[in-house]
Amino acid sequence: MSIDKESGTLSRRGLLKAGGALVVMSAAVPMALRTSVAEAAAAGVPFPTPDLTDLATWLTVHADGTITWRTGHVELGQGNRTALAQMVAEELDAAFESVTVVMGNTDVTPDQGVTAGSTTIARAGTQARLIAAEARATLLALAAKRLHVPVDELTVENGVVSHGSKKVSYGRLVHGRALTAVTPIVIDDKGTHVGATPKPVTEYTLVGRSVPRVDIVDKVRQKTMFVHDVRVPHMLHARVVHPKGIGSTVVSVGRLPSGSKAQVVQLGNLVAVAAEQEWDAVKGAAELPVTWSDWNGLPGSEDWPAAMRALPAKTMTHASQGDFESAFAAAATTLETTYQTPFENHGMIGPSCAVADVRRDGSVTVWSATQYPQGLRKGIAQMLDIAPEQVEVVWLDGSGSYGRLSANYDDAASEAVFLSQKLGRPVRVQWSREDEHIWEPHGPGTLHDMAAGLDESGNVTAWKHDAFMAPNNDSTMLGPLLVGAQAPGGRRPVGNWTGPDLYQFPNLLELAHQMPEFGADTSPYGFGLRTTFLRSPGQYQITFAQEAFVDEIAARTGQDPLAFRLKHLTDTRAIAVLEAAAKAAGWESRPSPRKDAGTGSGTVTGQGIAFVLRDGTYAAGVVKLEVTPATGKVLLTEVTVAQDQGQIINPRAIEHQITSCVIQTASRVFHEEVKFDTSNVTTADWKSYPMLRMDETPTIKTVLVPNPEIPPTGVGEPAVNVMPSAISSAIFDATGVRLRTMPFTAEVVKAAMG
Amino acid sequence: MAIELVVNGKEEQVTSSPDTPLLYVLRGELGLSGPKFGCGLEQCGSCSVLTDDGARRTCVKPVSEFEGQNITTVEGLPALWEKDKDVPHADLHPIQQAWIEEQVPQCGYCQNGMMITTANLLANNPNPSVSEIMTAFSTSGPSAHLCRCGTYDQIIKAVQRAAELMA
Repeated sequence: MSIDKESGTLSRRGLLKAGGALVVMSAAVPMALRTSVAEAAAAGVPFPTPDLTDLATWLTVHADGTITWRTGHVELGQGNRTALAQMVAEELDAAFESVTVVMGNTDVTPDQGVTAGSTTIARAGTQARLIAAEARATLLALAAKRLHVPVDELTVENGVVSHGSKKVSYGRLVHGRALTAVTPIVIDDKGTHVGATPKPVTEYTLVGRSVPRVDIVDKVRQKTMFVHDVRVPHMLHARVVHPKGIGSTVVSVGRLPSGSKAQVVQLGNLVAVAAEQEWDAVKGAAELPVTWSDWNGLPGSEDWPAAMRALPAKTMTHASQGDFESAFAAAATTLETTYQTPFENHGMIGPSCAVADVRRDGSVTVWSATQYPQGLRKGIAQMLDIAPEQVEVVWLDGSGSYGRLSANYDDAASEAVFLSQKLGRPVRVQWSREDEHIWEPHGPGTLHDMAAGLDESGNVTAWKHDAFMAPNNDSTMLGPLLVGAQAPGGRRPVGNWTGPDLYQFPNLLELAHQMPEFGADTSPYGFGLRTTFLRSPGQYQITFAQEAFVDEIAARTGQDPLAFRLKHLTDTRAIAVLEAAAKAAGWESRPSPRKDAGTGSGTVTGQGIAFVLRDGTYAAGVVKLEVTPATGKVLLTEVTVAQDQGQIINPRAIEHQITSCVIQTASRVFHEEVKFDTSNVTTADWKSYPMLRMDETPTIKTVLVPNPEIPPTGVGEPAVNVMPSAISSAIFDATGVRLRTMPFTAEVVKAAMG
Repeated sequence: MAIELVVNGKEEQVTSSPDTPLLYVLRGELGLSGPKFGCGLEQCGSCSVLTDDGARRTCVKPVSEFEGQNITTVEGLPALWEKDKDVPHADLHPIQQAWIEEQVPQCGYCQNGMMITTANLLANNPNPSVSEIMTAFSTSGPSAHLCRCGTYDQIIKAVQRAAELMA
């Protein structure tokens, strides 16, 4: 498979070594960067850091009129490569097809932060829009000079600047040379500042259209180079033999059977088997006898809720107004209950994989599907105790990731660098399915103690949400801790409450008890049962408890769950999405449970509704389902999501993100739970940790509520949050039984139906 | 001793050891990246290929079990369509065309297995119902075909679209 600089998949180092750098790079890299790279290489700085305030960092206009745009964000399958190209082409008045986006190659692309929390469009896209506007102003200044006409009399269409019959294309104006902004770009705490004013939204012609995604044709042809497909000369394949228990250390490492074509590498507690052929490494890892110390620092998954409450916690007040305690004491009616969410997997279909080349001269190239190449670069520099300018991270497509490669930048890469350093050759580390299911940093388990007080008329007078949360931002990478190259400890991960409250409840108290990881106190590595960001982290768990409890209050007071929400909301965008979802779904306005609800024979149906404000985006969902109480089987029949994400960049891509949220979250709600004994995770494959199948897919309706004047916000996460509580409420509507502990497996539902 | 396979219409003599699962031969020795490693346990479907016996998982069964078989990966689907329909040149198989029209892939990692299973389904049932499509991807093989991005909805539409294009 060929390696293509234009798509960001070739190491610059490789080009320089080949001696053809200037010729080969001319297509993609501007003169200023080329000069700086050549100078930096001569000065022993192989991989300089791109300067965000240099317009040439962001784009190159080639002689043929094509434009290369560079971003530090990466495509995770959500369509952001396409959406960014739309935004940039729109602002430049260039043809969509002329813009190619290069992503996540650390010595070429600017550091715009991690691709997470649905921020590509909201933050990196907004930044790109401003800088593209400045680029357009710069190009127009050049054109005015060339055509000898006033700049404000110029028009641009498809990358051609016109003044009456005089025309000049961007390509002829620039010819691949570096652009210097007419007004210097300033980036500070308040954001990005440019001299140019972006185009008014009323003039948009490209943004807002369902342009086909640019990555799909290659993915369908199987021409996309995933990180799993990278092969570099002289590369060895490695499998890591991970510890038996989370805190186990090596007691002894035996020998491979005679005739094995693999070799064993041991660096402290990092044990690996490497070979020329991948299968020899796989076989060797399975055959290698390793004795590990016993470690039993976990509570076991049956006992984790009680154990979590007993951990030393730091308590954070998320919101407090009025006097909850007095109002609760004075209430005519009170409700108190607890919700629980399990530890979960990100569940990448392709287990972690990365390739590292640590060279004798100290320079390093890493090929990774990380969600934050610049973050991984800094992490690797730190673990090898070298300057970031010695390290290059080349991002390639990966297998989803859903947060797994965000704070935790890439475990496989962190292991590959040490193995490459030791073996003196490039090393590819491919995790097994068991490695991924056991060792991925999981989604955190949480507990939510809810309390509400009502007056004699049924009005809410007191509301309390007490959350106990395992961390959702563990950023440890396994490699250096197993090797012993990095001291355990450092930043302590915590669980964070995410999301604002829009319901108008007086006397409100919301607390987050931030717990350490189970076992972190006794593991020699400093981490315990690692937990980190999983699609809509924090908010997913919080919204489940909050929205389901809202439904419990509505049911207790005999109110329609939709009407109850509308009564307590004042935000017009929130009201609009709820009404839009209800209308599209054909919501039946009545209290829950339905009159003929029950757990008897046959099948019963129910409806549930939920709302969230996430990443600045408003989403409402209506779930319809069927329950067979005798078997506990729940079948989602129809899910409707209405969403207001401000300005719409690509409607079809948004709709596909919504269906993705619905299906992936249905899987989490009905099937998924990480189980563990006192030593380690025991759900090691897709049988013990199953996921939703295609025959459980509901009909999905999406409604995009237009709001073009409001800047665009995230679409990868919001709809995730409406699912758990809407499902819980729809099961309650059908049966009169409220489920408060996920997952709602058939066994759980059947048992609850009594 | 070399093992003979016919991969995407081309005769290959492969020298990997006979116990090597076919997936590692296709990816490692023959340089085909379409079939993907997902589990090594026949639990996800991302390694699927077409054989003379229909769609098969390749991550466990050794290459020796495939001796003499005609094997088609996604890379070989256009040529397969040319041969089946006696058309002079197919840039894409209609299944791939349908996948593009319905904008199916998100990360794209599992889609190899999804398209292979579609080819197998439509060869046996040219006009499947939604329920038959769901069965084909959920309960008919060694395991369900898993997609973590949640593209099942688009896959169902794309299979129906492919059936139309192939009719």
